[in-house]
Amino acid sequence: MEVKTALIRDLESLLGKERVISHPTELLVYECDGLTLSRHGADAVVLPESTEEVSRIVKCCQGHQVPFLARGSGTGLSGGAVAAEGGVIVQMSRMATIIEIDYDDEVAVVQPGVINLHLSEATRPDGYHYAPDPSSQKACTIGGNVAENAGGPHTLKYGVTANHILGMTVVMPDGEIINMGGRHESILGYDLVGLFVGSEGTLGIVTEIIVKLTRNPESSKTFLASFNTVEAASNSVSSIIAAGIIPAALELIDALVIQAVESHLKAGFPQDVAAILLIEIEGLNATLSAQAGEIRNICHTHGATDFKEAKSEPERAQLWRGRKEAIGALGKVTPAFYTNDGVVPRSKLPEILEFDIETGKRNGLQVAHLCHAGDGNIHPIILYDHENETETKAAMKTSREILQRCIDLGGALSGEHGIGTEKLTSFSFMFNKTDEAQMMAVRSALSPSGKLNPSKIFPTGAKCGESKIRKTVAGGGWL
Amino acid sequence: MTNNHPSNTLATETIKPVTTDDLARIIREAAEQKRTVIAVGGGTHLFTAGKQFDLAIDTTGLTDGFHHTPADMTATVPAGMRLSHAQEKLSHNGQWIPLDPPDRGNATVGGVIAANRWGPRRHHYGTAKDWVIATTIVNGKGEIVRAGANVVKNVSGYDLNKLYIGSRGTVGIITDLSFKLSPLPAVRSTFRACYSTPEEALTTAAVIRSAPLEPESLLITKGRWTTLKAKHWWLLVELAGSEEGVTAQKETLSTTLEGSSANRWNEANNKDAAYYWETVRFGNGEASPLFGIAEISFPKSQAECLLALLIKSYPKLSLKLLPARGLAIVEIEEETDRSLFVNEITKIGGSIEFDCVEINSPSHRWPVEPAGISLMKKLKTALDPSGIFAPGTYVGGI
Amino acid sequence: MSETVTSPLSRTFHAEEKRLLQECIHCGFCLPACPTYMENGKEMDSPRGRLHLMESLLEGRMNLDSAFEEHMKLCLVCRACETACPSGVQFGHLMEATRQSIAEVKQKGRLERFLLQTVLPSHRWLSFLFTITRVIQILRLDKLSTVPPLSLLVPKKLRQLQLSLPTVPPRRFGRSYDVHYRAIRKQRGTVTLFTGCVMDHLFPHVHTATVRLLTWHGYDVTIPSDQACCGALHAHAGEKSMTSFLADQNISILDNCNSDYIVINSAGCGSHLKSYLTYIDSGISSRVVDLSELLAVIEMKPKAIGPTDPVAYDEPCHLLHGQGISTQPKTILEKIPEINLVPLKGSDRCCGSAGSYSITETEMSLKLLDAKMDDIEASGAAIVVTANPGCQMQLNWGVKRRGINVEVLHLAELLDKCFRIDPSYPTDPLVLD
Repeated sequence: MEVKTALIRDLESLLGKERVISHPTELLVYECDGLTLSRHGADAVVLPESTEEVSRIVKCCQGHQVPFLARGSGTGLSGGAVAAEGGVIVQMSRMATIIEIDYDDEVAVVQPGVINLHLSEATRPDGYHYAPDPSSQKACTIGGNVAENAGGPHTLKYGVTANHILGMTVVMPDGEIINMGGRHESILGYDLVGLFVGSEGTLGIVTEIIVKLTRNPESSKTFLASFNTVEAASNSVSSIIAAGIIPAALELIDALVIQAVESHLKAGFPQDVAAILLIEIEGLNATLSAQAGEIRNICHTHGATDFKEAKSEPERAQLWRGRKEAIGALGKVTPAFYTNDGVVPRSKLPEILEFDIETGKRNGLQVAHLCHAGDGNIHPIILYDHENETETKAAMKTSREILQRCIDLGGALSGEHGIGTEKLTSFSFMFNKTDEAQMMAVRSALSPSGKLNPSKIFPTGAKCGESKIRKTVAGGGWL
Repeated sequence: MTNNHPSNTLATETIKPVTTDDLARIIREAAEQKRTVIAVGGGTHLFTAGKQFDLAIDTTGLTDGFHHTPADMTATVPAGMRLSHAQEKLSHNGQWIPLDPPDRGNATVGGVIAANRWGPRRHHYGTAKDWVIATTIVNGKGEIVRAGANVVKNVSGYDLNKLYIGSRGTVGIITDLSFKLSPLPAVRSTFRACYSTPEEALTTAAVIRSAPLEPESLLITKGRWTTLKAKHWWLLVELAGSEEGVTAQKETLSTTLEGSSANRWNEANNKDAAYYWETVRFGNGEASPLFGIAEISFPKSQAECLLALLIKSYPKLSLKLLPARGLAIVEIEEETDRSLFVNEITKIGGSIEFDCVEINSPSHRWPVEPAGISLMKKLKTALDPSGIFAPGTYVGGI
Repeated sequence: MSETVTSPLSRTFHAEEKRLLQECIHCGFCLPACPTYMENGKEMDSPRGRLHLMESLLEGRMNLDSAFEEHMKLCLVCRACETACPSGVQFGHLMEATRQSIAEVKQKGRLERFLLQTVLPSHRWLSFLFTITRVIQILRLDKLSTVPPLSLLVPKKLRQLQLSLPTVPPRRFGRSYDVHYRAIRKQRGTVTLFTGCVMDHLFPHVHTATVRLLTWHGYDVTIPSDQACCGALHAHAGEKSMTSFLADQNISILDNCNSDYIVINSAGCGSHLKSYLTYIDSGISSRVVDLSELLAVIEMKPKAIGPTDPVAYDEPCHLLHGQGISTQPKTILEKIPEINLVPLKGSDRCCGSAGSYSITETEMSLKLLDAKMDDIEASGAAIVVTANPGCQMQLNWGVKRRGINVEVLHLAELLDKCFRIDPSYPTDPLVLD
């Protein structure tokens, strides 16, 4: 039987019973997000419908001294949307209204629960779209994107979420409602918006967001280049970047992933190759063909066996579906996989890809690749069997070794997923104690109680070492 | 220590450290002794609120550690290096930091970032916030802190870079910066067109924006930032990119301008183009000591409304406006009523920073406080607990 | 994974189901595709959440409690999540297996059992009940039941059902003997038409239109007399033995006809029989087609319907998600000259009909219907085309509730209308063999 604590009763009196989830059976579904390896039970889940309600919830949680955090669609891959120390999950799915679309100001005002793709679908017919396009864009929320500073294939040209947020309304950890930024590129004071985007929901709960809308490009071309070695493909990427070409997207997919995609999604990837590059260029008609020619030459110089252009919009859409849902298709070829999102300077791409595969081999595991290659953002996909404890440990070890290598090559721990609970133990690869203390000083200044989304990002003081769940399953959905 | 450096007059003592470690030690000591510190680079955009400080740090000695990796299109630049010098070095490999603040060659990279300076090409490239990927700073405790990495995409930990950009030395002193770079365009071409009214200039700018054109700069100028002593409104457009791209765009742009209500328009030769842009950055040489400059930002849709308001109240104004960004720099007569100006900008949801000789308090410089000022104050205290960095010189009196 | 033989789910989750469950990688792509999640925003009412609950129950981390049952019942089994899923999780199959387990543990109400086990499989019972309903409708007693004192006596769900029912026609389509219709134009092949239960009794005119279309385009059509309910509703309710009984019975009857195609014009029946056939070995699998699959590939020249009323196509879930059929009905509609097809936002989202869902989960069903009607009104459509009797009933009910002037037609009805402009096209009675 469910025993209602004072906290639950207070939350119910704020929101009504229908919007407070506290039954233990029901709470089970909130124990993890897209990263199923990290599981932690929440004490309650609440569904606010307004900024004011979020503020009241926050005050209630602070009053009861319980941790709390916001959650969108739970598609994140770093365990950011789980109650690592228990407490209350503020589920934003009922705040999912596109409040306003203003083409004169070229902005949209949205609630955090709006699905990323829904905004672009609403504006594309009018010649605009919302540029950040994480592979999970069919499902992830803009609020979640703000928390994680989400990327996506097209961020190569258009920048990540941080480059597209102008303002927001935030409920601070003490319940205070603060507006920051605005409908224009504000020039006043510290860049709070810039700081909050990517803070993984540890500084405040975003309840309204003003995003920039981007004009649709005049035209675009999508190419598929095939290679007999992964090295040739990654060298092509480095050369394209070094030539000063900025494609809209530049993605590398290796044979294992291609095999999974073609067995289920049938995207039209060639099957007898070691790797493909999915290249998209966007811009003015007048410049595209020259750029295309240059890219084609570079690929051929590096030994591309085939270089073809998508001939129609459906063909292009199918290629992109293959890319964006590739990781899901991997569920068909392996019992489980684990992946990270390390980043290296782009010229180091060939080196890190080779290292990944060797590291896997050394640990007895296969590693597949799916990279935002143009950004140097890798997604080494480590295949393992989650029912085999040795393999599970080997997979974790492989991932950590790869991340360490990324840092040694001058890179970073995370290109788009964030640190969350997942990379707590790798944080020190990149940041020393002083760097961490500087960030924690920022957090303490804005969240003195530390009750907002604790045990995320910073290893110091994190308490979620002991996962409450015994079993691990296949993790990760989209990259 | 330094002779003609602008820092000399600001503080009782001036130090010019040459390494980050030196600087960290100096700041540690200053923090212990609670001595106030002002960091000065080229001194091109310094605001001291008329205050004197205990210690001035001349950052122009921090010039070691320039590192350019053309294949990655990234570079690490020491904060004390002149921006012009850095650009010159980067250009050897056909790349640049796409920031073009008004700079006669003295501005340091650290100063430009600390003050978040920009120029006409912000139209296309945005600001430092779009290009800085890593920073090293010395914080208020004299600690050397690094944020970001030399990669173009990174969400590891808080993005403290964003906090430092535009913080004007109030939370730390930047010692080096890493940038994502842009390829230098093969060719550039400047057009300008003359309009009788601001509405016509704005309308044409809107047409250009929806045409298949990707200008590097698009701005409207009037008064001191135009080459002529005219009442007219000038639209300046700069095309940049590959040879064929620019050629094709020139044609489209010519057709657009020809079809607009321009009194006249022309494509500038190289010499004229250089002069036009020089004028946009530094003015046409007309003396205007009695003028006060304001930098304003506003919702794009309000440009027309804003201009109408401004002309009514300040017929002699000079202006440069980026319609695609909702930004303008305006000069108004000093003796006129500034509060009227403030009210009008506030009414349309804009924000203002004044830059006039006689302004010597933050509340005059930034007459409207931003909504998150309480958070900003908390952040300042967190990163500069002793309050030594340029106290009382920033937004909200920070 | 440690085996938990005691789990209430282990009765219907065998090695295959467990493997299928493992294919979910928890990515969340299904969330925005799920009508119930989009309506209430709760993870437990999303496909991912439901799979998570199934897994937890299977692992013995929870009991089969009322909360579990509630979230499984709230699922529409519209299978939109399957279309959205990048891993190809067969959610519909897993949900049916789960409901079977629930049905084994939890006894259903007497009325529900009676309807599922006695009424639906029997044309006599159906005829009996619908005749009563027809009388009630003629006497306008259904309206009476909405006001006191009858409203206090008649259960709410029954009232709801009464109100949402269309006017019951005088007689059903099927006969107690096999009926054969001969091809009118040059013979192309032979078809056996599956007529179902509710469709047979409430939508005989759709079957009539279907037969006219098929015979006009050169097909001999057979209507076997002893066919019955397909069992989809039983499968949704977890009635395993009845499901198999009905499916096996129908399949053997249909197989006996030896025709080129077994045509189904009800998306729900088609989806159910097709997926049932994937789990058994039967010769008819390759011959079962939805009407739209057949019509899309034959050359046809319908006439223009005159004034170009805006037409919107609302995709039945069990056509789009259950059978992957989406382009065919649109192809057919585009063959109608001068047709004014308007886009319908959310046409891939369930209308809330979902078999008996509108009666069992009335509240959610009405919310979904409201959302659907909003979209229909926004589209400006004067005609909404569907291809499933449940959807047609639900949409008609929505139109009635709103009091708007929108006609809801089965694809076959609209096409038939266009052809009837041609004087040589058959009218009733049909050409009998």
